[in-house]
Amino acid sequence: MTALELSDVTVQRGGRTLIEAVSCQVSAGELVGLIGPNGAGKSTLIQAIAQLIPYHGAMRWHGKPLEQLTARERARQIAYLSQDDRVQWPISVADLVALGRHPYRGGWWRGAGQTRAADQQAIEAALHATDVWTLRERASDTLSGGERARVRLARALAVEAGLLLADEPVAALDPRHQLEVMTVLRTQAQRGASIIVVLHDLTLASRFCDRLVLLNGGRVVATGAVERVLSAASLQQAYGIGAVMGEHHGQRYWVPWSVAPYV
Amino acid sequence: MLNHLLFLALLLLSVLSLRFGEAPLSLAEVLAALIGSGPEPHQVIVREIRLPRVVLAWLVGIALGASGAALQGLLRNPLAEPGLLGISASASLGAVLTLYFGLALVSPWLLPAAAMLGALLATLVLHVLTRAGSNNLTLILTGVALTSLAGALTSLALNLAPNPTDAQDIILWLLGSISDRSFDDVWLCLPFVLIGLALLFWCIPALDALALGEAEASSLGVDLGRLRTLIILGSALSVGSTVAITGTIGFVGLVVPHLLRRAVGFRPGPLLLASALGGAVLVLAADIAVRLPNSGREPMLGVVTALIGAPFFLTLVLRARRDML
Amino acid sequence: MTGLKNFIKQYFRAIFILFHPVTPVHIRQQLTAYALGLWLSVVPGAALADPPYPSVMSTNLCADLLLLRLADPTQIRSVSRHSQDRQVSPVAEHASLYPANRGGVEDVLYFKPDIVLVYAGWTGRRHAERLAAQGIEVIAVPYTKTWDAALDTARTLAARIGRAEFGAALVADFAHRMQALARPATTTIAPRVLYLRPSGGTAGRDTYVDDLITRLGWRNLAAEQGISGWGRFPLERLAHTPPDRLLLGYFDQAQSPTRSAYGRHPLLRTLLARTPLLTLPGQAWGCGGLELLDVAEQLSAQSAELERRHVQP
Repeated sequence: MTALELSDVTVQRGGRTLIEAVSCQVSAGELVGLIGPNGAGKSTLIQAIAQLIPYHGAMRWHGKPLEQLTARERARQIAYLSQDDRVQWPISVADLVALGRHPYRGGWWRGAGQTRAADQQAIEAALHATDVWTLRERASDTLSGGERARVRLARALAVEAGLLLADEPVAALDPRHQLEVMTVLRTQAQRGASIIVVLHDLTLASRFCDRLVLLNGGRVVATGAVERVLSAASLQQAYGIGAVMGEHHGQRYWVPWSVAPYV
Repeated sequence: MLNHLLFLALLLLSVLSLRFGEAPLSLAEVLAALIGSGPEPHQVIVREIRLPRVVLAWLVGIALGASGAALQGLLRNPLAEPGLLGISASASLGAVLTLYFGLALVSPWLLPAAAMLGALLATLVLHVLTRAGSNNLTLILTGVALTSLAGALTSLALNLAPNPTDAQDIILWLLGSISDRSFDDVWLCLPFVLIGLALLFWCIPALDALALGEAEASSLGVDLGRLRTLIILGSALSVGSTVAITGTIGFVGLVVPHLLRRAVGFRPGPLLLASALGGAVLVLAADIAVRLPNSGREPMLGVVTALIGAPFFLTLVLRARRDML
Repeated sequence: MTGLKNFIKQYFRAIFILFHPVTPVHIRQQLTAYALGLWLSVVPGAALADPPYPSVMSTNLCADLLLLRLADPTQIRSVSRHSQDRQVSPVAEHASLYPANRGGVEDVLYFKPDIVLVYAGWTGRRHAERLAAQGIEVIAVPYTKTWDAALDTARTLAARIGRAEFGAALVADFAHRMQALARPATTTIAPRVLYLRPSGGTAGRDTYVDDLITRLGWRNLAAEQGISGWGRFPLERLAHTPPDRLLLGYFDQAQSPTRSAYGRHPLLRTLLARTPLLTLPGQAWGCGGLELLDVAEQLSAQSAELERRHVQP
């Protein structure tokens, strides 16, 4: 069942076209990897979907135009995890994750301490899902890179949105933390969420994603099943590299191998 | 809990402030005078001289503390403060110009109005200049420039003042004081402080979310444009209107949020209410302190807060040095 | 040649002053004699005029007041421009007869008087040596704290500008007239007077205000409250220990909103409404010089009026 549908989405900024006529679909429960070389427009596309920057074209969420949602409805439907992992103030992990409940928050008179039961549940679930429950008392500026990535992911999960947009959530993480974060995303997708994740790591993308969208120069080069998108021709066209494919317990994976096409 | 403590401190200091003064009144006499019994001179002293002073200390402290916390949250910068950023100086300029051109004779409301306009213009300039990636350096330098400009124009107005005694009064007023104010002065700034505070408090949830950065805050439903407008307007109204009455009382908005930030778990939203109360506590305490040496010539309140605040600011700068360079 | 030019300039100025409507009578008389003398001096063999006085300029208001009173009109080179400002000077019209200066060293060098009167803090004093090299003597006029000191200053200054005799006579006259106004502090309850400015400023012990209040037989409330010098009288004390009479200085100048919070306070306004007031225009006595006599006369008259009204309500 199609949850998110993009047709002819174009983003222009300062006279330059950053995204050109992108169309794609994401189903509920699907983990879609958005890949492409640097400057391909991955972050721009994800920000456009999050309604953070203006765009042309149509976006539909369960058949309803996204721009017709109120700010609060949209904030409850779409969770966005940016590339910028700074947190300005050293607030505690629990408070940070609780910010994910902002779309459900009342006025200023309802202090942050008085979270409703539903909020509390969502926060705890998010803390457990990302395995940061034990860190909940810690100040966010004392976290390691891996811990912070998982805490921020917990913040995004706490929104309990149907659509999760994650911009390079595994950048700068060690392999263990990369696997942990990708596993969390995988689990969330299995629970019915639609997830679009920007990735540079083709191995992780091929290992975890249901489908891939390969962007280059603002256009979709290839979209669909992993094998199709990571074809030698597409990789050569988008990245100018060759990759080798492996298989483990029936699951195929790709490893970037050479700057020239691998023969 | 913290807010309760601050409120308690505020009440105690208010009583202390009512008790303190030129005339040696006992606590019982003060309380009696406050509820309208006791000899007439006592009532006059407590209700017409000391009480407006206490109320004004509350208003100024609340305005400065809350705007400091809100600006720090909005600009995501712990060095943001109405005094340092030139907002207070610009408000002073507005007020001085009103006095200089005799506009205050037309209507007393023009005085706070001009001060608020000055504050608003300064805040807008700050916002426009520091919006694209504000780091500490741009922010503080913009503040320095605005303060110098407003200060220079104020001096110019003073140089051209038709009457030297006027100039003297204005200079004293610029230093900041809440002594000898009456309820007339309180009524002149009270409505604007309340409106400004309401606007700032409206922003509390959004300020919390802004800790995640503008993009994620926006994705959580925060309307950044509206948030900026509310905070700029709110600070300009509350700071501008109090400056019109009390002159510039600096550093309150810097010191108070910094001291209380840890106690509220660094969350910008709860910090706003705590800083409002804390600001009132600080101004009230400083105003008691200026009256302690009973010499008849009390130091100006703005001078005392600067004496407390400036070393504080230097410490903050030292700590943020890596960030600054 | 320059001598002749100076002569003509001086002569025409004397004529101008002579016929100017505001020139006081005694000056007119002096001038007539002087002009006659000058005229005779150019007639060969008829040099009957007094030896010319040293020329003098003054660079601040308080010195201007003294100079205008003591000097011969022909010896005044220039007065400070403050003395021509109606807002601050009680002698603005008289002072307008002379060229104004801004009180800088350049002005002094431009007018090149024999003597320049400055106040103690004059920044140009650093250039005293250079001025001395030009033959210009710098005299600092002190701020006085009592009427006697003011008389003394006047007498000394008159002597230094070559008007010793005139000065001595004037001082004697002034001293006499003040004497006539003075009343000893009577055993009957003398009114407690408080000098007040709109900003709450008052005058305690060791000020000419205190001296004058005491001279007129009143009690200075500020001094009794332990204030010395130019201090502040707190509002609370005003509510607690109100004076019998308020002596208001500068209240005519500050417009109400410009006034400091003190001057606008309702409490003060109530007090002003129910306390007998003695008022003086702002420029009346900023210097504490000989003009204190005028002030004393005015206050005396106002006080007499207050008492008259009190007796027959």
